[in-house]
Amino acid sequence: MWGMLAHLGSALDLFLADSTKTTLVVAAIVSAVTLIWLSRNLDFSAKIRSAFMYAHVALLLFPPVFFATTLSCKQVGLCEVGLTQTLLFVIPITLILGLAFGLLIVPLLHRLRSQPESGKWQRFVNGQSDRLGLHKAPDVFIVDSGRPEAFSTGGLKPAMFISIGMLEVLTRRQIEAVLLHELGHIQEGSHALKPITWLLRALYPEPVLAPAAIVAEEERKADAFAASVQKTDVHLNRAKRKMAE
Amino acid sequence: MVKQSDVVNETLSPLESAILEALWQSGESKVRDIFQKIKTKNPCAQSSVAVTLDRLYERKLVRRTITTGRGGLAYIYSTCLSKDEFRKSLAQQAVDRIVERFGESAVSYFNEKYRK
Ligand SMILES: [Zn+2]
Repeated sequence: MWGMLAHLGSALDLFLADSTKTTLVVAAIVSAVTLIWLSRNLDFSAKIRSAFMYAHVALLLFPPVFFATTLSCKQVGLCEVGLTQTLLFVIPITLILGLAFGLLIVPLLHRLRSQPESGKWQRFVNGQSDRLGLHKAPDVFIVDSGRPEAFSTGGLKPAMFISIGMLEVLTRRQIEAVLLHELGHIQEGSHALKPITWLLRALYPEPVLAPAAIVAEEERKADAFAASVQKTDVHLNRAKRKMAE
Repeated sequence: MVKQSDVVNETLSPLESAILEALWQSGESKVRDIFQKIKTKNPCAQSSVAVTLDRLYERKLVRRTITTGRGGLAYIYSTCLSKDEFRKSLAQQAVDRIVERFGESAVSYFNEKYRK
């Protein structure tokens, strides 16, 4: 074990002695720090901020992966090179799979567990999406639950989920307000932001990213969108109060 | 001496028993109907009634079917057991628990006390 660490140490020395490689690594780290700093600026849209965050993670993963690719049997010793490379590759692969799960698999699982709605709520969402110029309206799904709840997902095709419990307790205008709030999230790109914020939240202490502020900002924008379409926030606020009870 | 209605209340919250009582009285009902029926005696929000019914459904105390009426999608709830069946099953559970805990001595007590 110590022998292997010593080998790795000398391999690292060799890697860092190469000025081209060192420059690339330093450039990656500096860009990563710049991007996370830029992503904190809430004036950028959620789409841009999440792009910055994904790029930040990719740039952070670059140095260890780059180092792993330069390892050869001569430097580390025949049997250990595979192990070290595997370890250095496992972290990025796990992260990518985790993000793919959040971005693609979770929305798919929600779809499979719900029934498509093809009545007035889908028509309402189609109409509003047309008005906004979205090239494809999100699908509306019904969740078989008595609890009043609503949420939406991004992924390859955005979708909105509303429970039967919600349809039971809200009025028509209140349901429309909730659908508009979710449409606001989809239009804004909140869904790409969610898994990356969740990941970075685990990596960094609170002040670096301020995840609570990110979530609050997305909710504020979705609320503002619904209120601007309805020209009042009365229905949305009533709906929220009812659903929180 | 425990009153019979107290047996129902023992394992249910006040809102849960009010909802079950309403269902036993009116049979199949929607959330809205149940809410209208109980709201004067049990001041609560309609969403609390919906959430509570969902919980009773998960506990298999009520069943539900989906209807697509004029007001859109909604559940029609009804109870799984009649009031008498429900009380009986509660009493059975209570007795089973006592016998499980006290074994022979509980059985012989019941024999002594309720021998004809
Ligand atoms: Zn929201």
